[in-house]
Amino acid sequence: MEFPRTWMLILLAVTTLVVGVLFVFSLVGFQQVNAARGQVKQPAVVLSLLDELIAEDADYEEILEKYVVPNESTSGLGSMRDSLSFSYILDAEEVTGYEVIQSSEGYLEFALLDEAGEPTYPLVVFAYVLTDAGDKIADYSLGRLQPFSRLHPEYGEEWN
Amino acid sequence: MSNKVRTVLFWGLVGLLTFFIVTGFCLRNMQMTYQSLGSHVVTVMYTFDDLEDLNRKYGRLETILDESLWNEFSLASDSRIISAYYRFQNSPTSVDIISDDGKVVVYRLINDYVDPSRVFICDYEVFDNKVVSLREYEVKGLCWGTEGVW
Repeated sequence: MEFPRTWMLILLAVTTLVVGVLFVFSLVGFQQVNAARGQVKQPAVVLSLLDELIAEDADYEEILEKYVVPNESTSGLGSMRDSLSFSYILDAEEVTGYEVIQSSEGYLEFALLDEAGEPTYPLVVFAYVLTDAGDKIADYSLGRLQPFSRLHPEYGEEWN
Repeated sequence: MSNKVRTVLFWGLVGLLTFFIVTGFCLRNMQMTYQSLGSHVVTVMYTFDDLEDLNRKYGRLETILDESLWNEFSLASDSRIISAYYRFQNSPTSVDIISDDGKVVVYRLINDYVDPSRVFICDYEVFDNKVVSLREYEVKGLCWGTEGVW
């Protein structure tokens, strides 16, 4: 009797093919997770928004209209303008740049830099969703990062 | 097809199948470890009935956290309890995970003394199946666009 039989070979080949396809999916998933663990390059629209907001003569209204999809209530835009004017952290003119602390897809943590180029605290967190075309920010959440522990050197009672 | 060719083909396919299964299983495991370790740490830290219950469960973190991190976050010193747990007023607490992308866990805390709209963030790094870096924050002054991401 011949071994392996033809039906065995066919069954094995089909099984190998199916498992091989699943393996490729696993590999792609793993690569995506691995990529997410590294620093993610932020979309140009997000970096341009920050660059322009930090510029000394920034026109917040104009910049936000350029990069953010306006929502039904203008208060959202207004609150973003107020928050991103950085006046609650430093006077806007004292901010000379920003340093990315943590980034992943749709998520950015950064420190604003003072005149000496030193990071200031609290850190700022910006989570966002882009439009399908990727050219504007469709929705976002924005806030300051107060350390959970009161003993943390970045903790500031004034931010509570 | 000669019997020899059939045999070579058979064992070749068996070898390939074994490779796919073993490597795929390892990859899946590593992927799950990366994605869920941060959520697991946050859940262990902030799911308890009272401080006694917390003390009982907290030891699980010792195997997950890097040694220096464990020293920093251990409950051995009162400072960790006072700085992080005083706000819970010794009442039952649990965690509602919003997202975990393998680097950042975004979550809410469910506790009678914590406003449910408050958002917390835990940045973490994993190396060799251990958490080697952990930074915990609360998002303050949260504002959003249409509905917000969180």
